[in-house]
Amino acid sequence: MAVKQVDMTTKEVYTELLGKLKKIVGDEWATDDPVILIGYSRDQSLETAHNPNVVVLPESTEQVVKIVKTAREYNAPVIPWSTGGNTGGGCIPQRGGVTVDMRRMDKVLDIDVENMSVRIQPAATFGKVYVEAEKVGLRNAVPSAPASVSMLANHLDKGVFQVSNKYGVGTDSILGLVIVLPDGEILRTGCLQQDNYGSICVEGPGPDISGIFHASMGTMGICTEMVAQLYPLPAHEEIMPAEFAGDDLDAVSEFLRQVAREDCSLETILFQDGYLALGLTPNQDGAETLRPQMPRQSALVYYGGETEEELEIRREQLDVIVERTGTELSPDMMLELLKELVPWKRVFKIIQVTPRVERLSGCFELFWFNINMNQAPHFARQFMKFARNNFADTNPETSDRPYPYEETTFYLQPLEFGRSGMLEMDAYPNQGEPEGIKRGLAMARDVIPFICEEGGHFDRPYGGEKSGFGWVQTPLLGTYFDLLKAVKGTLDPANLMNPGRLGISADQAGV
Amino acid sequence: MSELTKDPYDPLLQVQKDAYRCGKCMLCKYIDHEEITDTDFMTLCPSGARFKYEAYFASGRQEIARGLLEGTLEYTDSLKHVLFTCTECGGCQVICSEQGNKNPLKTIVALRERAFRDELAPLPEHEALIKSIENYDNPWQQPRARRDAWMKKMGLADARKQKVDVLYYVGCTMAYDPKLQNIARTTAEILQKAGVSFGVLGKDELCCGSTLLRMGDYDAYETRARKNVDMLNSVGTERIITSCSGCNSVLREEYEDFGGLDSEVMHSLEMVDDLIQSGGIKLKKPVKKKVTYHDPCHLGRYTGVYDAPRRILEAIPGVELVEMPRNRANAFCCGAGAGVKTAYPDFAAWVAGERVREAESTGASAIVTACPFCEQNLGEATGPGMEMLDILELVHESMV
Amino acid sequence: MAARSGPNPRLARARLREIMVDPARFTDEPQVISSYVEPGRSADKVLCVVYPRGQADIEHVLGIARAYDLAVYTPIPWGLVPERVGVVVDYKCMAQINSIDITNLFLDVEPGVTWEQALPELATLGVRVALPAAARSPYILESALEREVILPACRFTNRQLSTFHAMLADGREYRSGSEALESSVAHWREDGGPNISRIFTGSRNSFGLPLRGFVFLYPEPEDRGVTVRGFSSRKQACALAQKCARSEVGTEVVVLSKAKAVDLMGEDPGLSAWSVIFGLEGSARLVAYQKKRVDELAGELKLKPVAGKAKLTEAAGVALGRPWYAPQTSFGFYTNFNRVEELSSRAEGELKGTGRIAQMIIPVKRGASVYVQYDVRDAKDTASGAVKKLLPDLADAGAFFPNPTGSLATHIFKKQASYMKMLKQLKEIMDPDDMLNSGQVVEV
Repeated sequence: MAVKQVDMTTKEVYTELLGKLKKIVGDEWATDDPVILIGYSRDQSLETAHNPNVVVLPESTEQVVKIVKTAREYNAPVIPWSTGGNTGGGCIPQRGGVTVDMRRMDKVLDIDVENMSVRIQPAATFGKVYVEAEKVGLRNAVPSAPASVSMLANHLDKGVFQVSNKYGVGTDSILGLVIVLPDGEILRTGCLQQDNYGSICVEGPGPDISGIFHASMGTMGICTEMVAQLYPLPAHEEIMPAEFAGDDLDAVSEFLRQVAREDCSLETILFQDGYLALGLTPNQDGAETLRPQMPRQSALVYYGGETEEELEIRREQLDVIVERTGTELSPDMMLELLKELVPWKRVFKIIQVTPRVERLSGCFELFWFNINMNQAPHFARQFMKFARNNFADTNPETSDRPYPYEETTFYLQPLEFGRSGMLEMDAYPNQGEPEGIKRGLAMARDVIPFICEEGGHFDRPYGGEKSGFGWVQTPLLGTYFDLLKAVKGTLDPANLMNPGRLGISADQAGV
Repeated sequence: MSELTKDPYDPLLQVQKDAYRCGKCMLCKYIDHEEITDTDFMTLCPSGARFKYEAYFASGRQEIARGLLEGTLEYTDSLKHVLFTCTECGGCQVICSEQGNKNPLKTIVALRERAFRDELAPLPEHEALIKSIENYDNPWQQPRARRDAWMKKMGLADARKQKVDVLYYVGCTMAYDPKLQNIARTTAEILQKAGVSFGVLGKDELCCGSTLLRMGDYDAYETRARKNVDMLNSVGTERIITSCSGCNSVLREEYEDFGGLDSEVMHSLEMVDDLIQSGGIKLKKPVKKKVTYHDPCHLGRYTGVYDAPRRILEAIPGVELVEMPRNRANAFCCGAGAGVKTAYPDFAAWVAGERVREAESTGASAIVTACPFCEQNLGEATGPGMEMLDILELVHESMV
Repeated sequence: MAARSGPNPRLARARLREIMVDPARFTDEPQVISSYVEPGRSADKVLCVVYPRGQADIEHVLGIARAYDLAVYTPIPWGLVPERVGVVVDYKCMAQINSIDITNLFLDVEPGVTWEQALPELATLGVRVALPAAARSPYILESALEREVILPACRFTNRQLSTFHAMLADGREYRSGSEALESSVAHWREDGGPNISRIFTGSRNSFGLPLRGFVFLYPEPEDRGVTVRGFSSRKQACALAQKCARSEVGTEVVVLSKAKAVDLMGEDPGLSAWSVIFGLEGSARLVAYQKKRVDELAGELKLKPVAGKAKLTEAAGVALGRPWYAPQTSFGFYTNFNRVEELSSRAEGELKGTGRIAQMIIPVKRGASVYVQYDVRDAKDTASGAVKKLLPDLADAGAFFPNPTGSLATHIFKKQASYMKMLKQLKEIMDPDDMLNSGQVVEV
């Protein structure tokens, strides 16, 4: 219940709230200074920047509990920020409030080597966990995201990995959660539901309530700890790069589907020429020099296993698929370039491709959704049309970087024996210019309804009202949407936890 | 995007595109992930590591540039703190220029320039430095007459009066700091022993202006730089060497903006490395030490000198070199640069403490470096069991 | 929605009989009813059993239940403990295989489709399902919804269900995952936002009655092989199982006590005290390699297992090709390999003298954790009491029961007040009148 809100201005409310937050975390770790607040106003999306009213940096679950409870007293929205790497506006406090920067909770608390799991705090990055896990012969699933993002947040957000065909998506690697609920209670799920469960990898106990917190962007509570699955580090690994000419994804999607179906790969990644060139070169000039020499599409298949013999056997399986599908393998030059990526740390080169794409125009606008593998070409073709329509006439006199539609890129990840696939389509509006943002938003308005109508399914309801998947798709989801609103309304009746997300408007949230 | 500033001379307009295009990949906070060996030592940005708020990282400073451009931010004491706790170590620049095709260091420099232009700066603590450079040609408020005190009785040639191949440009800190003058002497002795034809400027040596540039007083820096370019070009040596990494990067790189120097500029250790490789210096006496090398920002990241000091250390018999987890282009700053030590000594000490902790983790008993600012600041943070040495001191000890 | 008439069992029963139409799909025979109820419990509260044919029937049953304030039960493996007057819904007449998609590898089934029904059809098409290792019912969809452990748990996820359709207590149809979007073609299991659908799993239909589900299929491999290794101790058997699982050797890796092996494969003089069965598949070369690898890994552990002879191996292969059902008196839990001995000792201590004890241990997810199952065969009168006493003790000791019911469920959930509260809140949202399997999983 709000305290004194009626009689106080917003400034007074937050000044008083700030005083209480400082008592929780210490003077140094809470502030309403605009110079500090502005750092939390944007993320990688095209969403309008918006400052929080207050930023607070807790260092424990107990402090997060107190923060949530105190914010509730003042009817202040609460927005968690793990590492700020959200691509869908999830970190931007669209209605102000208290941004909870989890940076001081960045530890890898424990690695259970025998049972292949890791216990982490929200700001422990993929990179950090990878380095620690590798020391004991394990690895985390490599995301298609920078090494600097939160592993916890990415897993909760259903992160898709290059190993997703083999190990599933982010939520499949979650073993247990500690959540601070909107009322300040602590909830532990899965293997953390009880102290002595160990790191068992099955949902429960009972009805799996952990799902409520997946892809929720903090709207149902703040996750302060996670136990996540780790995987064996292959002793022997090689790359088989296959190349495909032309823009069409027909041949490559079938190739990837078959590779997935045979379950003979460790990882698969699809790159277009521009995207791969960015990953292989140290700077933009290098990328632009390399790109014309590269095939339009490259499907990188990592294979291997514990022994050299297994590596050979997997290669044999892949060769059969290559022959069956008439796929062309890349020449030695490409293989040599890529072999640099094979040693265990190669993952960082790949996952740092994501920030490298920012070289193009500072950001990329991504749409990723699930389809059948054979639908990918259709979506890709239409997306190129949208890109051309929205960007091709960029005026070089008013923009220093007209967008060449050839730079449109796709990432296709087969999932689970190729039963379905995650297709990501990327455009590169110039975020440095108003025109660029306008075109980017126009692109989103074209693309998102098209995807929904054609049967593509967004499993993360990202975005605000201007550019978000959530706002278009979620209301189309029938009873699911009704239940989502009801769950949100029950757990967070005041709609204070990251409001304006999930495609639920204020009145729909019952506020 | 809100309407931008209408001031066409706003320094931030040069970096406006970067400010808006920061895609929040957050890699600027960390060393190159491929090089992480110890996750205790993976943070790259000193101010971010200490103060933790977004604003203290490059990604946050880009937002501040945006806010100032849009007029949504005002100059406050906290803004000063955010702007001037950056040591301009260049870590974010190296990572972001490669990964994101942006120049966050340029944004930070532009922010400081603007602060000067708008009279938010200089900070009171920096005013004394600026006045000192203006009045005494050094930031240490020491008289010009004492600039050559370090070289008394050494009989060094005056480069303005005698024809020599090499000008040894000492730099203000080594010339005036009693704890570091020894390194200037050591350098000169090494050159003498190696038979190098070199001279110095003595009292006539002028401050290179690095301090002014890094603090953001670009106008004062430009005046000084132009003067120095003329003077150094008039000396006309083939080569200019310096023992100060700050001087090295300014003379070598920044003076290009004003026509550049005719002489080849290098750090003194680079010349020593050449001499060792060519046999001009023989290192025979063993120096039994386990050392770790701290890459000064202005020698490493700013001018790309990483291998020469390591070759030198490997050539010294008895020296065992162990690397810190953050080394070369990923080196963690000492904490002193860009006026930080003067304005925020506690913070500078904290950064130095972190770096010394990292050095201790290697098992080394000495930190070796090649920059007087690093030596000063790290030296104040070392305890018993950890020496602070200049690389040329080890060379000198091993020379026959 | 029909007006609520309030409790009127006689009338309710009559209405239910009426809507089922076919007498074969309705019964109020006491003997039949009591077969759904926990032995020793009164079945008085159960009015009848209905066998709906499809979604429309389910909708009608729910409508009547709402109107007459009835609970709607679906079978629980250990028997219902009905506290409210209600009706049992048995899915056996909703046994349609809607489609078999061999390209995208989905089996689209109604809830009453059994393993025995589906397997022959799948075999003709060159695809298969992951078989259960401890099925509590013959129904494929139920097994998937309840996340029952599968034989290839070492390699494949226990969550074998993609999308599903269910009916909520108020008659609304719910579609999970990408199915919620009408235009969607792919069956993607993740919801279009928070994964609310996961609440249905492990819930024994407490949140909705399933109507249809898409279960994973797998392509038939080029080659299959089976190999068996025998040990004198469980510890050694588990060591090899764990090692092979971690090395990704084996699709099925199952540790069996002799008693369990006999139950599954029949008597064989070659059976050791403990057997590890490996189901291997892939290319011919991969199968041969994995067979060899089993022994190499045993060697690394300095183990000397006894290789199963041809007859035993053949029997093992046959066993791996059919669903394994858990007997009535049995229980299973998850833990880690390093706790198997400790928890097993605890269990065996309590079960001593209650019957013939059989144990099965299956590595899950490359051995990251492990499923442990105990069967009590030829159970004496003391058996069920011993098991009832044992389970909460085991839970307290850290054995993870993934889908408990009844008093065990309450015992586990209430360890954390917020957990219990959350379950109740969700139940309140989705079944505010507490109709669906009332009191069986979530005590309101």
